[in-house]
Amino acid sequence: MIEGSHNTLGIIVSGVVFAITYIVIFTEKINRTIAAFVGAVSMIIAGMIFGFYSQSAALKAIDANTIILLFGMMMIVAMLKKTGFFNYLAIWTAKKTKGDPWKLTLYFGIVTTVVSMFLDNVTTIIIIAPITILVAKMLGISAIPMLMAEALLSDTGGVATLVGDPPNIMIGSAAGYNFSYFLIHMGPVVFTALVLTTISLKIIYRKELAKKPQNIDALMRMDERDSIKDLGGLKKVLFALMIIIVLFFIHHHLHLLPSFVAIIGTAVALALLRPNIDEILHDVEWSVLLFFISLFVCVGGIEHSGLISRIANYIVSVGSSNEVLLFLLVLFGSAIMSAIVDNIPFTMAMIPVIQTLKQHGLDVDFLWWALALGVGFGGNGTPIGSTANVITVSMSEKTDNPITFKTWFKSGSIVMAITCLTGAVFVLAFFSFYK
Amino acid sequence: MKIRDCVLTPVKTISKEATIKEVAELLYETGQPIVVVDENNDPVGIISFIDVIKVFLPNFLDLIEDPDILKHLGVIDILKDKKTTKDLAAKDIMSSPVRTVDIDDSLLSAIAKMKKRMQRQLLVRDGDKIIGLITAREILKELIKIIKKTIEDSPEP
Repeated sequence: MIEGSHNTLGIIVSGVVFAITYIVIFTEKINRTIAAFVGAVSMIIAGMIFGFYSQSAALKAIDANTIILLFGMMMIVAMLKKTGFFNYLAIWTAKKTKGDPWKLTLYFGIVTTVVSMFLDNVTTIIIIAPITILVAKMLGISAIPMLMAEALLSDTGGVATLVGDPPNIMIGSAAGYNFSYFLIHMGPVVFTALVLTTISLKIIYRKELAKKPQNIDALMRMDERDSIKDLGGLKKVLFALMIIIVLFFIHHHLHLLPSFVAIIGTAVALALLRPNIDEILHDVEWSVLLFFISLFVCVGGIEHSGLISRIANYIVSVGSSNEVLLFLLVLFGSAIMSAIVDNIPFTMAMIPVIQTLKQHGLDVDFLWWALALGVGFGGNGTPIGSTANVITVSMSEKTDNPITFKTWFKSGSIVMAITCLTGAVFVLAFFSFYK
Repeated sequence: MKIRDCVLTPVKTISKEATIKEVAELLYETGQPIVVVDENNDPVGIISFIDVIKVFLPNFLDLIEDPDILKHLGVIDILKDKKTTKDLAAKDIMSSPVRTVDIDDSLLSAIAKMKKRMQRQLLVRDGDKIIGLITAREILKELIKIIKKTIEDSPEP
């Protein structure tokens, strides 16, 4: 739609459809994918009736780069999971600690973090958390410090890379950042945040970590090789993953989109492994993909109606003169929002706002970073702040010592405050680099 | 063919205050897959071998996707705390409500239920009374008869 042709009725109608959809998603009364899907269809119908949106505009609103990148990485994870790689990694790591509770916390945290910089941290946690619980049980120590380290460090570490978590994929795609550019800007600040998180975990859990482990012999009896189901297959998938990681670092030189890099890796893995394709496709999280597609369509509606540009105009009128204030507002606003609600729909709605600010001639690079840091670090704050947190908590419910809201706040909220402050101080200290 | 036409296995019942040890021993001695927990001659729940195992082994075992990683570990390595298991009685570990099939149900519906619930036995009720168990063994006996008959009836090529 042409700028200036926005009608007020369209803005109001799109705003109402959007608000209802988001409220239903956030209250979690109905499955989020169903809510977003129905919302998206309603948005298109409303747009056709009131003239602010069309079927073809909705199709164009879907960012295929994000969807395909997610799909490709899900395929790789599905193939890797079947080889027993994650179990191997978990047992190997646990044995390296010889049962020392602090080392277990640190090593499990590091492993989940490194893996989640490239792969989906939800899958990593689904497999590593039960082994963590098993090891803690055998040693007669509390599993909570380790589980919290896995969740908090992987949430934090995922912020470092373009593919580390779904909001980054969307932000990178919308801002047109390449993998290396993203890593150079987010790597140092995330690394600092990780170190500070680790130190605070050590202080918060000093009592639990001081407990002497028993039955170390049982841990050392475990054999990581038992978990490998298909060594040949493992090598093939790791080879494909290596191609992906190498290509991520140079994709902009070769004029390859990040999504195409993921697809190249997927094709290599499929060609080498030749798995049962239905089994692999079964492990792809279709509901997540449909959720993304629906949200893109929904947000596209308020963009086309002109609601987003109204909001952007307002932001320009109050905040464009003070970049520092704007930066802090986006960072802490996003952090608080993602601690309370799902950070994917939140990021999705923020992206067009920042894009529109750019069209108004504002230099928005620092806002993209504020958004990435805010939604990433903010997720640490509550047990529902990220999918990894939700899974960690639900798994801990199968132990004698489950993680409650109170347990979470004891470390998670402190970590959220520390990481967000680190992000703010770091970016403001090197503001010209992030602009 | 109806369940009524099969020979049923008599069920063993145990008081809801029975200890875990008594439950385990009864299951072992009778060799039956389940015992019925009884309160004033009313069946209030059933206990299976798996229910007894669950008392001793922690719940997170369900989360472990690959049992192979446990190859070199013993039950003793992950046994639940003594204090959580010591005072448990039959009523604490039974599953309820009791799900039953009627004696006049067809054998086919019983087979389908076993397949669907992944159970090897079903409790059989006649009116309000539990009168026995139909197990995989009785079903196999009937199936063998049917298979034999089909083979005998089919004409030689």
